[in-house]
Amino acid sequence: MPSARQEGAGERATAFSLRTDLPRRWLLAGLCCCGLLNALSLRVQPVGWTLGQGLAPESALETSALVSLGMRRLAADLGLVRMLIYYGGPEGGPEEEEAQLHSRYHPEHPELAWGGGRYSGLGTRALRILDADPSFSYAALFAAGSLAFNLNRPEDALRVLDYALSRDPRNPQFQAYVAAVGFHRHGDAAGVISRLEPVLGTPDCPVMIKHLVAYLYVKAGQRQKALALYLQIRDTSKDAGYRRMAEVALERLEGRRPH
Amino acid sequence: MRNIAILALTGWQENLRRRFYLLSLAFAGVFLYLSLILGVLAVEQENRVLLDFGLGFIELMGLAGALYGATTIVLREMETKTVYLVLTRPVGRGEYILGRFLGLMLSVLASMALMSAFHLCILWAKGWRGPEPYAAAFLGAYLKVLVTAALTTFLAIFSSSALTAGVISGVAWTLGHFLPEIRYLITHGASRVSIVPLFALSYIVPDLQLFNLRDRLAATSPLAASEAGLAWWVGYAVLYTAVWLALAWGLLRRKEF
Repeated sequence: MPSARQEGAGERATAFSLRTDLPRRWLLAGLCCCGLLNALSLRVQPVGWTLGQGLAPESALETSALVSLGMRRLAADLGLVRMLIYYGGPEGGPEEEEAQLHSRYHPEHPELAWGGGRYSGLGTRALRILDADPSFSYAALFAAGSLAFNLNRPEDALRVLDYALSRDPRNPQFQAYVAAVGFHRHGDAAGVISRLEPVLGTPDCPVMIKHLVAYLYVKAGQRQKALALYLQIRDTSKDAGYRRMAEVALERLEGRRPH
Repeated sequence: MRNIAILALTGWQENLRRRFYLLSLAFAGVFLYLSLILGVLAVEQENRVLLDFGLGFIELMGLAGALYGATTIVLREMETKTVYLVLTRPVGRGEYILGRFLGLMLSVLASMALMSAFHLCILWAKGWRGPEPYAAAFLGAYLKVLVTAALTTFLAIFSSSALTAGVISGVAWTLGHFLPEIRYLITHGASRVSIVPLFALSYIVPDLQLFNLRDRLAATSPLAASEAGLAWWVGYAVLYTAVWLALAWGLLRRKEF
């Protein structure tokens, strides 16, 4: 009658013999096949983009985990959510937000409540998103548009667009934005309109840009175009804030609300 | 061939009766519903977030099911001696491995397809009619799971331990997604000492990033130009799977029951 110890030793021996039973030449041939396949895959898919920016301290773990699980696009999506929260909130915390609301917010001119501040991390956040997903044009367009037209920092906007173009040179929207920022720097509203008009119908065009162009239409006296664009924003935008602003602008243009 | 088909179908039926798959489907439903909240936070990019979150989650649930199945099916049948019932009949060991593996992958495919149907319903309800080729992204996710499951089957028989096989497969999954970074480290910056293991790894670990077709969904993506087509991805997956299943068969054919 074998003891429990002897049985355990027997099991270990079986397991060991099982491992060594695989002929080495089989294993070698298998590994060679894997190596060959990977060598071919390297030819098909060369080394991708490198990370130009370091990971942000607040999201380093989350981004690494998502990338290691093969979810680069989701990492970029969460980066966008973080960027929207960052840009949508006050720079100095809740106290500043309350002060801003009381001193600057006006229901008929909500655009005055934003556009201020520095938001120095906005550009870097956009670059990090592009690192994770070079084809995520919305993030680059949103950040560049905010930097150029809201925060009045065209140099930073151009930096974001250059980075985006280096990773996705075939994207015509980036080129149009570069030109529009250039016109904006020289105070040429007509130039900005002409460059941004072609990209308004693209699915990645941020509603902020549509709102800006509609506003420029009003300033340039192109009332019909402004009406059409404000109507489009009101009816299709998923952003409740912009829908409300478009509604107010429409009421003004139609004379239902005093200027 | 008939034996393989019978083993695959019975394996599929057994897997579908297990609670694990039901649990994974229920969990996927709840999680996909939660993704709606995340979608709201992305405002204008809601559909993109829903698409990415759903596809990623479906892939992970498919992987979990495949790992669980690959690490337990053969080992459990050895422990419960059920394997005797099969192998005492005119069934080859290669047929047994292949039949069980195909049964498992059929179960995973059914599970992933069901989750995808639910995911598409959510996307459709949210107004998504997107240009992204959903089917290609789904196929890529399935091929990743297929390759990893084959590796896990080999590891389970090799190590005789479900836990060891599962852990090593999990590591292979993450390394497979980091392969572009590993290759970059080899060509730039890594010291000579650290290159050797990295170099070896880069040729053994499955190139899972190759199958990440959802990363290249955008038409203007700079990586889209390097795609060699569906045939190459499927070919890579089938060959890689065949290699590890052949090694698993090599182990099993020498085992004395």
